Amino acid sequence: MQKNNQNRNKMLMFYQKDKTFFQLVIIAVIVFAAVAFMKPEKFLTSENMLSMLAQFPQFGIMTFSVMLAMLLGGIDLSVVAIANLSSITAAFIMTGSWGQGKSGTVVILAGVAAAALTGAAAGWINGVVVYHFRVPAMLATIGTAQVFQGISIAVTQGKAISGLPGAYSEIGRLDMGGVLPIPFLVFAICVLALSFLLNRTTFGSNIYMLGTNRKAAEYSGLKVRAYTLKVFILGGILAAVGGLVMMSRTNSAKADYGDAYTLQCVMIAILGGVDAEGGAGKVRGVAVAVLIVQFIASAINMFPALNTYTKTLIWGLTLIVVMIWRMFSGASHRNR
Amino acid sequence: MKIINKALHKGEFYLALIIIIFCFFVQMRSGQFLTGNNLVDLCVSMIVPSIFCMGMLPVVITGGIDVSFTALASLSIYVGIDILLRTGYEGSVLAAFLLVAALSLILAASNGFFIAVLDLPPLIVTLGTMSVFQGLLLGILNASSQNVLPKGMSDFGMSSLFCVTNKELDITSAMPYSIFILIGVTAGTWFILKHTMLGRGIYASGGNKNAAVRMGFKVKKIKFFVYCYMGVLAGVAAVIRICMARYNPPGNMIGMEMNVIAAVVLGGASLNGGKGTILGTLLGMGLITIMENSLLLLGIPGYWQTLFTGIIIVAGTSVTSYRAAGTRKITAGREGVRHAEE
Amino acid sequence: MSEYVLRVKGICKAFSGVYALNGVNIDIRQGEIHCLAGENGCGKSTLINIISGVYSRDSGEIELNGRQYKRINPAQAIEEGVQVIYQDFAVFPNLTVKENLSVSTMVSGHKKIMNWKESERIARQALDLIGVDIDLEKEVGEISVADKQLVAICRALINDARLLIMDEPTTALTKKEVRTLFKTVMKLKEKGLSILFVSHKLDEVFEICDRYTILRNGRNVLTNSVEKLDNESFAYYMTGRRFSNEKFAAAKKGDTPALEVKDLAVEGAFSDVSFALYPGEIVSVVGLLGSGRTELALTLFGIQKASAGKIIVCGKQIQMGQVADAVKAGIGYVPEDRLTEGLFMKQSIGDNLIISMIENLADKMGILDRKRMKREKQSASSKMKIKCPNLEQAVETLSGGNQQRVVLGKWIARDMDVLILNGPTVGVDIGSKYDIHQVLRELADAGMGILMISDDLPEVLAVSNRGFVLKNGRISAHFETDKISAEALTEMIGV
Repeated sequence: MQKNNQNRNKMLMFYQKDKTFFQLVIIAVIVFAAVAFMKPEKFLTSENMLSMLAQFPQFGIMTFSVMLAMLLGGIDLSVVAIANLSSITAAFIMTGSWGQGKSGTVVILAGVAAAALTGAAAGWINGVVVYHFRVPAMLATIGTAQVFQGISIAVTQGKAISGLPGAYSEIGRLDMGGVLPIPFLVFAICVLALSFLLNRTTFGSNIYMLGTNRKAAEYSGLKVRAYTLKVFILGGILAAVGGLVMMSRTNSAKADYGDAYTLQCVMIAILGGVDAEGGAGKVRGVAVAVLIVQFIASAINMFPALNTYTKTLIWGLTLIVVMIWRMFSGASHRNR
Repeated sequence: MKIINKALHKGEFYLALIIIIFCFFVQMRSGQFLTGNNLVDLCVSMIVPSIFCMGMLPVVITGGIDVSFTALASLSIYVGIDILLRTGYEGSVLAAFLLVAALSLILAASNGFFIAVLDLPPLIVTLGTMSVFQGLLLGILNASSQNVLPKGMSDFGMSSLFCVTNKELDITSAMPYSIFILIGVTAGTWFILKHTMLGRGIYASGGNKNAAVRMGFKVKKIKFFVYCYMGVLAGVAAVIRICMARYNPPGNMIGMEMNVIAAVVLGGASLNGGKGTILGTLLGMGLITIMENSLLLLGIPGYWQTLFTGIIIVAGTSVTSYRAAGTRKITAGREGVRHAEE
Repeated sequence: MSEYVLRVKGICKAFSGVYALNGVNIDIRQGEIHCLAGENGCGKSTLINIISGVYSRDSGEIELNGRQYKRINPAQAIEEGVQVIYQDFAVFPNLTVKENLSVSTMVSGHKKIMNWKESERIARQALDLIGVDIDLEKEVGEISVADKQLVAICRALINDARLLIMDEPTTALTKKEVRTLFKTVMKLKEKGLSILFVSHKLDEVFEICDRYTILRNGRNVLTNSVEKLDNESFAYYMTGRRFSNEKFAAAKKGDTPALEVKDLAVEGAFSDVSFALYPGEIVSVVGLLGSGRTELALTLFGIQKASAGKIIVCGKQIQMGQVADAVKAGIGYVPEDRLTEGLFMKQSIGDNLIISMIENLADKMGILDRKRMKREKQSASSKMKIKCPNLEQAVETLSGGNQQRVVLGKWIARDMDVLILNGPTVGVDIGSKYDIHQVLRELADAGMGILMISDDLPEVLAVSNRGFVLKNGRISAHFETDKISAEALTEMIGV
């Protein structure tokens, strides 16, 4: 009897320790069940499962980029612009005359590296504007988003770049042994790497502290400048990875792809328990939130009468409802 | 002397200086800047975004922000025109203004409710409502372009105060009556901010919210008001814009909010609240508008426009924020010196 | 007309079942300066909020100017002439002095239009009430702290104040500004105003108050006239504890200075500053605000760049201008605004304690050793005697005194050689102050060198073994605490 009680206490403590995460898991299960119940013939098929696994990685990875900025108490509205700029860079490299006669792998790797570098550079610019010029992150990224998109438009003259190497677009469609689409694999690696980085390293621990109280971090000997820049650079690279995944799926790159993702990413991050004031939010919570959003998106797609803008409406409503819910449950303040 | 000294310490002075230098540069390069029709064109392109700015300024002064107003205005103008078309209303444009303003007010009240009453963070709330409004317009209502406007509106769009023709290029630019609306809105906003207790309450609650509550200001009502005011002005501006365009591509205004926020900040308002002036805001919008319009005069292709606007926004907000951080340091230093002198 | 401006009888107030006030009585006579004293959390603020109508009481009686109230709202309180000067003064930094002075009158007059002429008239009248002159057109954010306070006082007075409540008004002021404030307060008393002066500084209470009331844990401890009070019993009544008054005797441990400073200078702040601090010592830095003392601390800790000079820690010269380098070399810094600049409120106690040493708890790749983290958290918290059920709970759940311990604890966890404290006990109540002093002594005994910047001369004399005076950016004198009196020290600092 006593042991039973102890076990229950332990379970309760475990639950209390990461309440947000467990609540999210429960919501995910409920949403999944509800959609499966409504349209079992469409939803519960292996094709649908596979296609879902291939769909969410692009915005899921971008969400982590937004999450990083939010951990520092800011917000990043330039993620999609960085993703597009990076994938355009990659597309230029992959389709340019430079690659002629070289092996496909080299060309693709060069493109991927260029995209990552572009993302890092864009993130660095964000970091400089935020840290050195003291511009609030939201405002800074509104501006840099225009700059990045502006560059994209200027170099592409607003057109889409297509004609990527066949091998590259294969990646977007390829399944590992018919089970796991590669985009999902990329997503999974991002989740594991990021959650290791944030939970198990000094870098992660210090980011949470810095996001909670910048002045105190400075007075504790943290290198605030270096951390701010690193967070934004990492965010830029993640955005670039998101852009590469998106490019593999659309088989082209353009300055205004994925416009709706900006809001969607902010919404998912908040839903996933990231505190907009900084210093709190876990990768696993956000990952579950990505799944929830994908379930809902797939459900909407199953009703042909609803156009894509209905999703926008639902994301907006979800965002507001989640905020009100968090306010009343007070969860956002106690969870790290 | 004192006046000059005071001017030198104001951001507006430098903003005006930059605008003058830029205009001078464009004039030198193209010779087309100081022509009557270009100046009229500039005024015309200033009207709508400047009215948006007059709505945004009070919001920013209270320490808030609103990114939903363009979606809000797009939704209310679409519904407004639809109602007018369905009822076959042929009367004056005034009805359109009143109807759209009323619809906007209802939508804006939801922003006000979430932000002022529930005390939720304004950026995220308005990001949310923005997509709700957009989703309602393009998703639920499935809006498509309204190519015929009610008679009152198209008449208003076609009438003009005066026309200026550039003989060299044979272009004519017309000044619409709506310039008076801009003047009225600007004067009204100035009066509210400077000469009413409501306006002083807007500054007070942005400067020190707790103190404002203790002094007896109804801070929640004030916040509620600024979001509603923003919404109503957005609706008014939308009517003007659609009348001038003579058709309504739904959701076409969405995206303009970034420039509006940037203009307000360029004009010296702080996103932390408590600061901001009408003059500065107009100059900020002026700089962005002149910049955008002059690219064509300079022979730069249109697809460079986003990039240049972005650079202006980043550079401008960087300078403003950096200066603000700098002054804080200087004042702190001065205080130290003052004590040392005692 | 009643003899009493305010009589409060048997006031009780509970927040979610916990009594903040339990049967408190206080009465204030016409033209009296009455001190309200007590430790943080004793119910002082709750009482002020009840008198000014912000909170409603659960039971008890309030009588203002002879009128009985069961329930009083802020508007009624103002009508009865109750005005509160809050610690943060509740001024608007972005508005002019003129507007700050007139705004409450305008709001309470239910005006819709802002009349700037009227505003100026009200503002002038307000400043004339106590005969001060402040530039009406200046923004309040640009004027000094003392002037801000004057603005707050004047604003209170024009609303026909009869009872002025001042919540720890001297905390942010320099010695000279406190003198001016006291003159103003005496002037107000002569005009027949009653003042409720909240303070826990005994010398202030002696100097200015007629009577005092002490609260502890939401109950009255005693009300008496000031003549019948001495230092020791005052502290005892406030805390319920007896404190020993022994002086600190430093035992110099080692001949290599923990910190040696040679010809250090920062342009416009201080120059030619040289001194040595040996392990086991507590050295005080005293001087007026603006004498360069805060800049000195910030330079030692690498926040400000020095324009000349050397800093040597344990015999090794260190790179200046980077906090991280200073920390690595073994210098810790406790800022003046400890709670907002020293703590991560939302994060756990444990994480706060190990923040400054976290790099030592990871391997070369930066991967954390969780077991060691746990050990270090526990050892730091037991060293600092932090009372909490669980180190994973957020710091914001701790009491004020325990939070102070966490701030110190984060440096102790790391075993620093030098600890610099800026105003270590500003705004801290007597009990916690004593505890902090105790901790500092223990740290010195354990071999740390401590540099303490303080305004509080009794603290300087009791806690440190020697010190030096900064005046206009230069060291003007050295002193040993057992050979100098507070008066002589005041003389040395100058006014």
